[in-house]
Amino acid sequence: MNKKIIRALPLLLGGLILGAAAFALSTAFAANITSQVTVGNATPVVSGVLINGGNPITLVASSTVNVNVGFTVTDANGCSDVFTSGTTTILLYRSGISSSTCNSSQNSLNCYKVSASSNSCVGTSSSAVATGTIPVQFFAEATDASSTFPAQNWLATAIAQDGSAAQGTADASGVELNTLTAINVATAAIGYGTVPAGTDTGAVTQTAIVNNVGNSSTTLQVSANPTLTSGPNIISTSSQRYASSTFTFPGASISLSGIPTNFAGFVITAPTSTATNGKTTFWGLQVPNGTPTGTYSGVNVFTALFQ
Amino acid sequence: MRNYRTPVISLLILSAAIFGLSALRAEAAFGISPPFLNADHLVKGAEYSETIYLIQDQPNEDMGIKASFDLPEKIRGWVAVDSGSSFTIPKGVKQFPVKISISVPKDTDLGAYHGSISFTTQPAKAGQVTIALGAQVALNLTVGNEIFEKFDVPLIKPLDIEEGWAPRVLVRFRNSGNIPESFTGATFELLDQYGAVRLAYVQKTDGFPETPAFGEQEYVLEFPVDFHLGVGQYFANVVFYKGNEQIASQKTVFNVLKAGTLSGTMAQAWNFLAKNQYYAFGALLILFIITLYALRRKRS
Repeated sequence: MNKKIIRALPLLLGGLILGAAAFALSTAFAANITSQVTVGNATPVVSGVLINGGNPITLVASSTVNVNVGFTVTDANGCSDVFTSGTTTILLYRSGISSSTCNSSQNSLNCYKVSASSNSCVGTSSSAVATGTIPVQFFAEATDASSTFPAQNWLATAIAQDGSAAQGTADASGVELNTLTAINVATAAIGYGTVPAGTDTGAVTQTAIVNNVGNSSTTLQVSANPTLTSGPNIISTSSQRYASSTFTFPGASISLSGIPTNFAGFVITAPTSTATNGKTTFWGLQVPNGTPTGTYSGVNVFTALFQ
Repeated sequence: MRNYRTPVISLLILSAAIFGLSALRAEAAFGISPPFLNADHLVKGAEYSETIYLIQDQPNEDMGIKASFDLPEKIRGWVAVDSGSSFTIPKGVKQFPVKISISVPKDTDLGAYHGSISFTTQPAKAGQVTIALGAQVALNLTVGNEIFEKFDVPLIKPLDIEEGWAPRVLVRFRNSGNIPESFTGATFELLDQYGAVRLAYVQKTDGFPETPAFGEQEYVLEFPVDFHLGVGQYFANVVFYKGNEQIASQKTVFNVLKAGTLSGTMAQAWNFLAKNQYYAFGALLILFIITLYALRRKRS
């Protein structure tokens, strides 16, 4: 009996070993393996920055003009990483001002800063187009050929920052901002009141304030077209006189002409803010003897000249 | 006011300004941008034009404008204003374009010429010394005989296309010089949606439109690739050359859209048939059979 057991031992041992191995293998193949990966943050990429469709900027007198800046943002984590979790910034500035200076401090003469007002980011797209609108003031500094900055232009920098504060930036090709020469007059008409024939307005002068509402210094031309008329009767153009200060008729005033004439010494410098920036013109009238009664009307023309 | 014993014949000349009676209200602004036209490199026979804008901040009514010319007699015939000498700025328009054209005769003398064009508003009269506003553009022309080259590319835009189309790039070429200009070469690099992997590279050495002197032109260039471009977003890196000099470049995203998105269903169907002759033949055959059947039924 013992010999049989001894002879069976190797067999038993082998079986045990095989069994253990099989058990170990089955356990190994049945085990749950966990795995993980950390998706890193991708820096946004900005491209295709375009100012005003690539066209020069033309201002509007006494007001603002909307200038659009468009750009594309690409983020490997999805565009929402910028447009939902992050921020966008658009700088519009004269090229003599650095983008970093403009980003720190803005002014309506030469540096504007806004956020994108619209974008096309949907779902899990990696890229989207964004647009910002900048209201540029009428006194923003010109960069065209006859301006103070003829070798410069206006640039735009688009900055996209994602939810992890990674930033991508890109600049646009520059565009010109054109000179605007423009005025308004703070009254629609000059009223001389009742002036008898053979008399003049004496020491009473009427005023017309001329305001510079462009981005350049301006001088003035004045003329009458037509002169004061009532039916077939006229009061000659030269009967009106003007000056840059009050006068007792005729004083040092100048006769008005039907031909546009430069108003000597009358210069209004370019405005630097929305504050009123103007000068006063003073007007008087003589009605010659023999002028028939009537209601006389005419048009005086104030023409702005680039200075 | 001085008083006289002789019977006074009073004249009522003016009343106080009343807002809204004239086409140009008090404080309404009028101006011009830019206020100069400097054509410094004209040559005999040159055609030059520039657009200036008449500006108003309160375009509440139609505004009549009169243009008057103060030009040397010699060049008066050279200058034309597309709007004419009397026109109307429509209500609501704050920036009204006026194109000024200069046609230099082929047999003129060399020289420098100066003048101006004034634009004056025509307000409604209402028994007052109405104030009208004007603005002036100064003209400075120089006719010489030297070649002047100056150009730039204010716009390069890879366009969205449909699947199967060749990539397209919109270009605006601005020639400020006095001879015609064009690119001599371009490269187009197609990259994946992240701009990381190059998918194709195309070189172009001809087929560039020429932009005339003092002109501006927009055109679309194609850069065919030898595989079907599927729907998705891609990066395009485009570079334009003149000789060996790089003139302009742009790297940005464009979209390849589903067929028919841009061209419409009919165009999509037509393009499909044009590219798939067997389907086209099959469609024609079916049409023929239907027609034959209809004719036979009609006879019977």
